[in-house]
Amino acid sequence: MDIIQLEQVEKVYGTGEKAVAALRGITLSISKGQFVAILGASGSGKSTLLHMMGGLEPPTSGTVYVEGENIYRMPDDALAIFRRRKVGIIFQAYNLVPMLNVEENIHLPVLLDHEQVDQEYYQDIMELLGIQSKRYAYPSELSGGQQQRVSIARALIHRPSFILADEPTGNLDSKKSKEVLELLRVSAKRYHQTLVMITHDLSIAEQADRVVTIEDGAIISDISYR
Amino acid sequence: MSVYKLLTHKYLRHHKRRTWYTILGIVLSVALITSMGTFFMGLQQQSRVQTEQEVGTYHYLLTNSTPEMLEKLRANPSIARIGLMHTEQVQLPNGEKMVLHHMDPIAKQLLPFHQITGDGLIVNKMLLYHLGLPIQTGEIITLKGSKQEYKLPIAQVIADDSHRLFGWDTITAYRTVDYVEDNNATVYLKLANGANLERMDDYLRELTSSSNIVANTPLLASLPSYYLKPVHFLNLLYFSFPVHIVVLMTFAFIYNTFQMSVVERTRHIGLLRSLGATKQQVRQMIFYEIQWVSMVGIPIGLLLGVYGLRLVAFIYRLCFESGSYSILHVNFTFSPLVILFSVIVSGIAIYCSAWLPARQAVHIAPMNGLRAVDQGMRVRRPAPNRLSDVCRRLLGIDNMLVLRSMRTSRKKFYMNIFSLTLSVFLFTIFTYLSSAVILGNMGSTKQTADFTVRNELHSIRFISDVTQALKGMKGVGTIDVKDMDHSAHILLQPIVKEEDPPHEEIQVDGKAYTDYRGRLSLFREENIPYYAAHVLEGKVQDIQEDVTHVIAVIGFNESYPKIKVGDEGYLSARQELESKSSIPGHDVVKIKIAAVVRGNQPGNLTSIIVQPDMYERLTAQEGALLVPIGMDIYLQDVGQEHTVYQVLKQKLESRYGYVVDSKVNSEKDFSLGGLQISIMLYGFVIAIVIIASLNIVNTLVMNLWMRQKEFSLFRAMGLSQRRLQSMIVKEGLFYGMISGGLGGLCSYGLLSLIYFSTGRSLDMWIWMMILAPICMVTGIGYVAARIAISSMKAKPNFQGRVYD
Repeated sequence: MDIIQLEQVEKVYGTGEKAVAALRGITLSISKGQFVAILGASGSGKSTLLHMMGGLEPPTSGTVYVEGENIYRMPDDALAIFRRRKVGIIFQAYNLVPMLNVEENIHLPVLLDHEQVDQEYYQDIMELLGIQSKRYAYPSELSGGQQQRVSIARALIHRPSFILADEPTGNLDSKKSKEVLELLRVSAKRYHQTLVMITHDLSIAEQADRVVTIEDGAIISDISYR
Repeated sequence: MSVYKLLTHKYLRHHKRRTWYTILGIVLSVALITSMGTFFMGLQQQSRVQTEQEVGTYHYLLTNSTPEMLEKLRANPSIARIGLMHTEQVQLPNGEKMVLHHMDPIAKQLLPFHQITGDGLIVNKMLLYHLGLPIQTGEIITLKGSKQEYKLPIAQVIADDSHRLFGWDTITAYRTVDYVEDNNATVYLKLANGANLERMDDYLRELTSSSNIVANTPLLASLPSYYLKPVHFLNLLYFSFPVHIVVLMTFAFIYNTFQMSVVERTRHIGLLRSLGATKQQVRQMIFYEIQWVSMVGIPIGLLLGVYGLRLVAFIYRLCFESGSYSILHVNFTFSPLVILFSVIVSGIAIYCSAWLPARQAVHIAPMNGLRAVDQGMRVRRPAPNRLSDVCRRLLGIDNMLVLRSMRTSRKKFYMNIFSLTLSVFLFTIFTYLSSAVILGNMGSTKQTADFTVRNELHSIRFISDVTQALKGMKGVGTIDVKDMDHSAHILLQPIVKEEDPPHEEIQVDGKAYTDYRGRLSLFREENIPYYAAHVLEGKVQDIQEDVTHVIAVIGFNESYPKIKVGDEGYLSARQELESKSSIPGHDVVKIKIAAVVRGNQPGNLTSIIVQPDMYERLTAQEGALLVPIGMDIYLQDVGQEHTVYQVLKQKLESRYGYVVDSKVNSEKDFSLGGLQISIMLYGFVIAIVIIASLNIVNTLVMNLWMRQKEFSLFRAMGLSQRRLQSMIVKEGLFYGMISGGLGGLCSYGLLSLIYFSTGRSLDMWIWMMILAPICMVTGIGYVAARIAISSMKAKPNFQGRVYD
């Protein structure tokens, strides 16, 4: 069953002479529980594609269906709730709130939904990511790798339907990268989550169920391994 | 606590200094609105109390009552109290007739007699004069009525100028009785609280004839409901002008603060949106912030407004003496209405000003927010042109960067410039108004007498002993005894054509003369020193050589020489000359100008001073018996003002109908009142300047905060700390200079308009008035930049990254 469907999606930034096409007529379907790696050079449109799946960036043309619903036809509030409950997003630039400490940053998606945090699950994630000792630290007191791990924990805390990760291991050492990848895979398997990950690391891409390669805003290869 | 509240609290704590500046701005705005409300409410109450003391507390007076009418009035719930008064014609012991008023206790309460205790008569001074009695209470007066004779003691003597009650020059007396008959009485009505005046007016007109209804207009005009009528609502708007200024400044300040807050948090808002925050939740977050700072700022502002004003009044009482124009009489009481008004007005101003930034925040799309550059703002890219190249070369890269930074957010720039420009404008205009009040530019001139004595009764000879008392007295200069005006035609040659006032031409025995419309006055020896001191031409004493010799007194503003010594012509006090263009010589009296003097001439008309014989020939009144109506006293030494005043009071206080006006006293009073008002005005302007300063400080602090990475980059590229700081200081100075220039221009425009409309040219003092606030705001810009730099230094995070 396809959880995400993109049909002839195009994205153009700017207008007139300054218009830049980031995505050109992309059609892509992703099944529930699938681990998809997206490969591509810098500026090829990978992040735009990821954001589009997460309801963050409306396409200029084409449609994006998630669980059978055209998400960009939803009212703004419904789209916000969709992002809040269904999507776990890991940004390349971490995007932590500097005024909140690590724990508050991780709890943020749950708190936004006025829900209680599952403390056991939270402890597991913290332990796995190795940031228990930093729970009361502020982002400015953390290294880039630590900030990335906080960002990953935030994406997992509310057990979303699918995880969109923009180079989540880019700032981690190889050992930590493997652990994080394992965490994401375990989480996806346990909670039947779909994992879409942008990466430059071929060894990570090899572990994916499917590898999609993008060049100049268009899919040039789509290989399924499993 | 919800995540939005948590985020807001963290944000406010994170920017402690900015938060406190914002709260301080709100405190000042609310305090200003509250203090102005309390001030105007106090003034209004004071005015009402004063009016009630002068004209009583009744709202309507009905004459010719009937029992049916009173029955209906008593049944009307809109009428709180009804007082009755009956009048009776009585005869004084000297045979003169007068009206005695019998009023019931309620009428006494409703008339301005409620503070008078004891039975007996309330009489005016005029009555005592007619009876030849001294001005004191306790004397028994016998009045013969139609049915009985009254022997009553005088309980209170009231002033002659209570004409609002009696009518001018009327002798009258009041007494309290237990009961007044309903028939043919005068009815005093006091309306219940909240009664509709218009409906009451209609009701009374249905009840009785309009000629029987007299409204207590002064009291009605002092009621708050009076100002709510459309025509008077404009007055209310006029008086609430300062409130509008405060609201505008609050708007600019809050808008700027929150706009910057939103710009700075664009990324966070984008992140929250990407994590699933709805627009409504983002809006709530912004409004929670404004709610929090308002909840702290508004109560403190209310307290500061009420108690600050009381403190000012207390300090005033310590520093100033009470005078006629003093605001010390005003009682600034705590008014729930003012508190409510302040909370509503400031609340609306604060929420409206936060609404636009909140709207901007909710429209931040998730990815747009996340993509916002690190400074948290999107820089407008100016179109490249030759001018910008030239500017860069002329100004240097530092100044270009400063100007670009100011252009980054135009709204922020405009708001800062607007608030500082308004500060300069208000400062200049208030300085002008204050100086006009204090220096008396609007008031009297040097030619006005230091003391003016007037006899309101016009029938009692008094001058000689007063002039004797003043003669040779230390400090007294000259005296000008005044007689009743007698219009006159002054016919002189040569023919002078003039438009204002127009001079007619008239033929006397076939010869043409200019008809100067003027006044005729009697020559008095007491006035010789006065004439001699103001003589322009000729000798004053020459008037005594020949009966035809006269003195011409021209106004201080009258052009000279229009009438010259030696001019010959005719004089006439006959009104019928108005319509004639030619008259025979025997209808007029021949005169020759012996001296021309300047004098304080009402209406700037020329007066001709003639000898008693001539005066009698012209007016058929015996000059020697003419009773003067007053005198002007000019002091040689103003330091002797108090002594002279005491002599005048001693000579005149036991007499009837005298009024002494002291220019020195009234000027001192006026000037003191002006000074008190000026201090208040300046207090107001300074508070406005502080709000504007807080605005620019906040702008610069946030600007530095948002551009920290940019500054780090400059430092990394080799820009010295000193040069970086000078860039920040320049930005503050630019804000100050631009708004100073604009404010100065606006002030110059308005002052020029005022000056040119009065035919004056701008003097050095005006330029000082304009330049001073310009320098002041430039200084504010500098200080704001310094505060911003120090606030950045205080943050440990920045010390290592931005500057060192």
